[in-house]
Amino acid sequence: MTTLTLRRRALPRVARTDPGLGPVGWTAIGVIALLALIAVLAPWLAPHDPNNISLLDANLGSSGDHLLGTDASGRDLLSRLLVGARSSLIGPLLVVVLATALGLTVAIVSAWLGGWVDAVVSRILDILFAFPGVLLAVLVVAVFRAGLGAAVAALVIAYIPYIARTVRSAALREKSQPYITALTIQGVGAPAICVRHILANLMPLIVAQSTLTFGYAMVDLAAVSFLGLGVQPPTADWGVMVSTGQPSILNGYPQESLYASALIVLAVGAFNILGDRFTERSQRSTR
Amino acid sequence: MTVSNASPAAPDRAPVLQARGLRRVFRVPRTADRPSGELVAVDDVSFTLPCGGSLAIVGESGSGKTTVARMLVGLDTPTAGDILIDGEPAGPRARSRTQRRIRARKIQMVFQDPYGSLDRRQTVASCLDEILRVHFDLSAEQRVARVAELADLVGLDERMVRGRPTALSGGQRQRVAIARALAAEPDVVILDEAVAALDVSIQAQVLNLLADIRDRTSISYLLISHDLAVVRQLCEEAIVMHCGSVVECGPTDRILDDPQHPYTQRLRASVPGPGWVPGAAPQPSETRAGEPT
Repeated sequence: MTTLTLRRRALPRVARTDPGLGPVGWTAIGVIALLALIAVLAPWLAPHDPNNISLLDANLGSSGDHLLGTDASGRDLLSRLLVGARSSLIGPLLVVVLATALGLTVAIVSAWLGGWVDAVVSRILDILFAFPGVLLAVLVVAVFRAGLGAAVAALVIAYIPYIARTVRSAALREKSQPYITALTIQGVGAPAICVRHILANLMPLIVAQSTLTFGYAMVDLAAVSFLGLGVQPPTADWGVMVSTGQPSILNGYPQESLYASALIVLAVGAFNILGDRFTERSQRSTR
Repeated sequence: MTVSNASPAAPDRAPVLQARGLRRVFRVPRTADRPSGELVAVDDVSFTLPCGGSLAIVGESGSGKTTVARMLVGLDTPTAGDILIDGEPAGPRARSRTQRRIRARKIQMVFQDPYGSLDRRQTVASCLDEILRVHFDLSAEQRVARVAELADLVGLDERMVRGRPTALSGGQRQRVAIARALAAEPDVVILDEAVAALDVSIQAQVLNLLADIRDRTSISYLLISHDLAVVRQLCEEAIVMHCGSVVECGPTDRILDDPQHPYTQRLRASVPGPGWVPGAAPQPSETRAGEPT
């Protein structure tokens, strides 16, 4: 005798509601919020003047007065790290905001107009792709003057093609949807279609892309500062601190480079994780 | 407020839409079987849509019927021939926003794909509101009232109107698309395979809705379809297109019950019905290979 058992297969759970960012994503948001708060409140949080040189206190270890010790010039490391959060976060923020604003404008206009405009824009972007960001920064600094502004300008130019390429292909896909044709037939103007419909539908993608770009921009800006082309000493900046802490490593005092590097890794990691989560969500929302 | 500003059908009124000798030639890469590098998509198509009437353009994929629709709404320019709206020649192609807006007040279109033809991030109310703002100078309260009226006309409840199309079924979405087409109060609505993507019971509902709207508003329909059952249900007149040309035209019942042209006969015979044997009826497209395109 055979028993027929109908095993009820568990149906694949259909994700009807947005599963959200998950604990890791929220941790990343927490880390980013904390760093942003530190950057805003740095002058009040810092226990010492970050630029106060005291050669007698050089390379001290952790103590009650200097919680994270001092650097080779006797400056308080905790204060420098806190204040350094400002330029270290504002730099990438400027790069992301400017590169995204310019990149998506170019991309959407190019995708919408199509034809020779699109062809010319695509070729220009191809040329820009050939410039490595750091090399471009060296060039810009050679023409202008070393500093955060020059480094940001160079990276904005270097990042525009990456953002524009992603947004352009997504905008082309969106433009081919029948609802765009419907709006065109209705006599809705091109700017309104581009902003209210194409841009609005691309927002999740753009947010995800910007978050990821923030991480890349932070690493690149730190590298530019490390090379001495970005933020200029004695201004506190994590990238600069990694660089100025080098001689101390050889003398057996790695704390300055170590702490600054750790903060860069923490921030970049948080932005990358959040960017990945946003990317997943934007892919889900387009389905 | 009336649903449509189209005046009731008057016998002496000019046909609401007329096509005269429409022709559209596309330039394509030269190939061995197409040495001229030209593809005649639409060739000498003429028809008349009387005010309040309904006309079907029947044909298989590639017969040029969608190209005709694109030319009528101003998305494409005829190579030759005229389009007359209310007896007046329409411009070659609606390029500027004003031209498109003027044509939108005359001719509207409902698309085949109910999933792609609505912006998935826009609520139904805001979708209709946007169209009203383009065409009419109404206050916010008037627009809200009009949106409710349009939703009521196509049978959407208030909850659906507040929601996004992602929460709606295919049939409900198509109702939204119809409401959007009616929002501009056009004289003609082109239904480009508008029920082809819906399953049969929903199809019937939407067709009933369309028939109902026509009874109430004296709107004219131009139905583009390959589905003969749908054509019979909605249209009195039909033209049959094959390879870009009109092969037969006349009252729907006459064309479907007593087709004269061999292509129409084959099209009729290929529809599955009682006693239908797969493969027994010749496929309508079998003639295409031998015919010049």
